[in-house]
Amino acid sequence: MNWKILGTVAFVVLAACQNEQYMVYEDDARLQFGPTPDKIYTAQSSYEDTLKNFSFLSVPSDKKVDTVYFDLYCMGRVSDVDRPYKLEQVVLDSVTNAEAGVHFMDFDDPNLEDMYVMPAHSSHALVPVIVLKDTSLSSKEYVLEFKIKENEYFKLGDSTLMWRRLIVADVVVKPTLWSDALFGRYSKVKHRFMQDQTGMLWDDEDIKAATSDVSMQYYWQGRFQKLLHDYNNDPANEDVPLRDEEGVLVEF
Amino acid sequence: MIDMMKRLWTIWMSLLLISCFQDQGNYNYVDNELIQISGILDRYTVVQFVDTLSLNPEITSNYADADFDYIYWVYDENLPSESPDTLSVGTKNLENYIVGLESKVYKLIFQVTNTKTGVQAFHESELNVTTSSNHGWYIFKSSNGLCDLDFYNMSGEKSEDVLLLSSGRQLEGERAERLTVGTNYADPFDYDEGTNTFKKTTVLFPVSDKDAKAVKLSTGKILNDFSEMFLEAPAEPYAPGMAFAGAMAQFITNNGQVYYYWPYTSAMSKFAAKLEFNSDFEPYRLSKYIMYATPNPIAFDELSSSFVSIPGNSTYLIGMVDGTGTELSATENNMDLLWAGSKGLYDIEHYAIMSDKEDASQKYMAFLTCLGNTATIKLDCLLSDDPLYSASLFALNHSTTKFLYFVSENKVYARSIAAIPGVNSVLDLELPKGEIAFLKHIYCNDYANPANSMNKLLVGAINGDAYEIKGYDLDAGGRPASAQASLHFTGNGCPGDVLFVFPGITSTTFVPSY
Repeated sequence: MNWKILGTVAFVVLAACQNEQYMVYEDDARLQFGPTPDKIYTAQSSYEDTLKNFSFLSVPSDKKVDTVYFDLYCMGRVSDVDRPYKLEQVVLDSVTNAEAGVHFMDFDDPNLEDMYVMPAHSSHALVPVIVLKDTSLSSKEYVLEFKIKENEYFKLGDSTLMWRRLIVADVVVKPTLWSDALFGRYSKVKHRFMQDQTGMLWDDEDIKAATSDVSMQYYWQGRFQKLLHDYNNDPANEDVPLRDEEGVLVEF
Repeated sequence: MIDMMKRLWTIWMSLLLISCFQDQGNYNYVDNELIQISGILDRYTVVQFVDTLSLNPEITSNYADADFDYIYWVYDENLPSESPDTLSVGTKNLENYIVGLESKVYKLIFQVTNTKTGVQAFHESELNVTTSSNHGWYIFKSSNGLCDLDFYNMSGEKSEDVLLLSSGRQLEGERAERLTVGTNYADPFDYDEGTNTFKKTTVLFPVSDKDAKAVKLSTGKILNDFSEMFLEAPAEPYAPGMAFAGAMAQFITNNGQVYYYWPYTSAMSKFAAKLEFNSDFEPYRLSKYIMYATPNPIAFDELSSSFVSIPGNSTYLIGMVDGTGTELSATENNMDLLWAGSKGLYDIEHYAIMSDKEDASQKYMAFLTCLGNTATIKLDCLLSDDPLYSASLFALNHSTTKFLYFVSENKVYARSIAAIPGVNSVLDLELPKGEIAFLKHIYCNDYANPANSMNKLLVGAINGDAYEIKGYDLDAGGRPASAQASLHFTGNGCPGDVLFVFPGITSTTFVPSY
């Protein structure tokens, strides 16, 4: 019995000395979402941009249509021709789902056919989501979750990178880069106060600039503390001390 | 039988584990190669575009047929992201190399490679590149409502009104107050496309009673006027007090308000964050006399008569707390601050001259011991016949000697502050002619570069519209080694401050206090 075990172990160990052949991707072309191309090789960035926020408050008020982009990657060989891909909305429970044709243009809209393609000679595409300004957006946020749908050109890639979610609204939306350490607890009232007092959007771009340097962080923190103090002590303001939508005192 | 099987098993596994290694017989019986470099000094100092650099190193190796390749290169160890500059490739000697590098302190590397073995050896020296404006003495002075800098290089050659000459403008101001140093300051005229940032440099901050500027040390040119030094330009009229560095931040005061930025992280070096008195935004006005303490500088709020700590990582000043046995509360003590200074860098001892707000004839010398934000204050009540009572100028000895120098009735005194009450003595000095208008102790113990070490008492006088400044070497006890001055500067205007500079100077080479 022992000799049998020894023989088996010897066979396995000796077999381990053989050279392993390089793996070549010979599977079908597959699609999955990812971060921006500059972060594609950064493991911790794999799930960046899974969720994006868009508010029509961040664009001029006369703009009725805008586009939000996501990054899509294909595995397998690149092609000499453009290859169409398919997306479909995922209806979620417990949120208010965005409605095709009302809050965004349907992925199957014939007018958008040429936009949903993996370009020739490329393994990366920007996925446009056309958002529409509807009056319903001014009262609440709508959620659009969508996923890749298999077609004749592409199969599905990593199952955890199959979907993206977009929150679309015409009200202030919590920026992805919001920092509680810098601005305190997020609230829509606070966000709106910041916009009104500075004329800035305080979206991800503004927050990124404000947090680029330690002393700039303290500059903005101090400035908002002073602006709020002045606001709360201005007899012309009726809603003082300023409280957020949940009745909590706004503080910086 | 079981023991036998265990032994067989062990032997068998050992053979299996080592069987994957292939013996190629490529053993090396030669001793490790040792390359030795000699004939290069540890430190070189050259004047940019003036001095030449010549190095003739000797190279030895225990490898008989060595074939060497040589490279000389330099880098700034404070800016690791910048690429090194190559001075010479392929030749052993560096012959009459005219140094055109930007003025600063570099690491000079001589790299030798045996091309046959690939073995390398390095020699590291310090290369100190100076210019005609960054190694010598600056005199900060005022004249007819304008302030400027005079510069004396190490040969004693004088450049008058450096700012007017280099930039065509001077500081506004009746009084030249203080001249301090800032490091890692973003030069708005030196943009680096590679890093998409402005390169950092060392600046001087001359501050008058009405103006301040950022002046590049290596060129003497104004980089930013006062309004440009801020993220939000302050309202006029300007009334800066002092620019000073803390552990993390670079500060400046204007109209008694304090602003800061972080030199290492700030891309623009703009004074941005402003400290408020407290969360109720009560008004405050800091005195220009800043004390250099750890963890934060300390100042005196003239409105509330309170000592406050100045953090570089907050939006509010920090009130000082009374220590056990204090004879004067650190807060709301109803005093006016006439002068204050710090004993040394990161010191816990600070001293102040104060008078009672209700009765200005009541004067005190305050001994502050500050641990963190806790202050213990002892008072030396000054009698009206004490020369310190009527003194006009003060300067702490920043070495270990416990002396306060002061000027009273145009005489220079040293007051022992080792105990209360202090003991005065007149210093026997051949003073500059005229009314004494300036007094400063300048102290630096630079172990790495002893040429920059000094321990001098500087006395400046105004005679008509001419200044005369004398510097006296001090002995270990803090007294002048001689009545004769070892330094002597003359020029036009009223002296406000004197600073010794060299390329490697930092914001804390000399105590940024009084």
